[in-house]
Amino acid sequence: MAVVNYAKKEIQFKIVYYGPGLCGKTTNLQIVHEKMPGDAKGKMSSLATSQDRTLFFDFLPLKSDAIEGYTTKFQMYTVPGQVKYNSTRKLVLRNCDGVVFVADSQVKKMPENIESLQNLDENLKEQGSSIDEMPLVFQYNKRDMKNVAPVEYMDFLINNGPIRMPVVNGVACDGEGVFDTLNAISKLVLHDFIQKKNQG
Amino acid sequence: MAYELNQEECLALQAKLDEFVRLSDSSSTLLCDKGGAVLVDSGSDAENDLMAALTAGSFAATRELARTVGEEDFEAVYHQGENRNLYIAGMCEEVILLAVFEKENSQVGLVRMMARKLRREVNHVLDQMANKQEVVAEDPTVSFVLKK
Repeated sequence: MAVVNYAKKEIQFKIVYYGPGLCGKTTNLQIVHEKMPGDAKGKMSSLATSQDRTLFFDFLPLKSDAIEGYTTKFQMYTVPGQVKYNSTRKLVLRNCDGVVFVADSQVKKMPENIESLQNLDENLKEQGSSIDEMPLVFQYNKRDMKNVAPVEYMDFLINNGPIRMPVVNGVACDGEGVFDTLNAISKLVLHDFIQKKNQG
Repeated sequence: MAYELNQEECLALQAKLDEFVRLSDSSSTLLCDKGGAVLVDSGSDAENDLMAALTAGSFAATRELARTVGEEDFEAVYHQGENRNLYIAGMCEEVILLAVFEKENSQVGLVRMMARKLRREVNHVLDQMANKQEVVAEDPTVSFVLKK
């Protein structure tokens, strides 16, 4: 749910990076934070365990002038990927405007990808939304690993809705695909907002 | 589909929040939604986006704790530091208040009392928003156009 402030001429969108544990969600945000120019980004905050696993969320605010006459703020969040933290994922998903699903490309991780995507759908449905209505971009991460599944196979498994969602292949730890993913989801979120706005 | 604050509503909430800062002797405050987006802020803290995100997270976690122990909700959360304290309180179903106050300038009892007054005022403004038929932008000619 975007927040529009006409007095401040400001629009805020919430984008959530979702996916199974250790798929690279936090790495995506860290790379964006590292490479983004200083005036466009805020402070990144991570609520993590002592082993650097996300406990609650990572948060990174970004600014752009994507909508004419308005400051556009993108509030970027990650969720904890581990199955046991589902109540936390539901809290972070609240009022979100777009989702990046980061999938681990290794063949052995496919069951976890499927489980996490089903979990996303369930959690969105609890909030009165669904995967089919939500702006969604897939990032097939870790393409540099051995035994990666072909992109077509991953599409067949997880990107199999009525409309094929945008897919970005990535090696997030090297920065590959990170900004392509960010651009893709920002565009979808903005178009979705303007479309809904025009429909009234 | 979107939370929309026009000039009038924004100024009304801002005035109430400024008054709250003055009466409660807080150093900074903000109102955010439960998704962590800032609605209005008042005071000196620059990291408001981050503070709103963490406030929403903290409040949501507290609410889950409340339900776990059989309570419907906790009214507020108070964090006591050595020099600065935080007071987080639900204003209505969707809006949360964060107040930061110095130990030497104010006390939690005063902040709590003023927060209850603010809750009534904020709800009055939000009720007016909810009853409104149509959101009118500050500049009616403004439409949202993606920058090329």
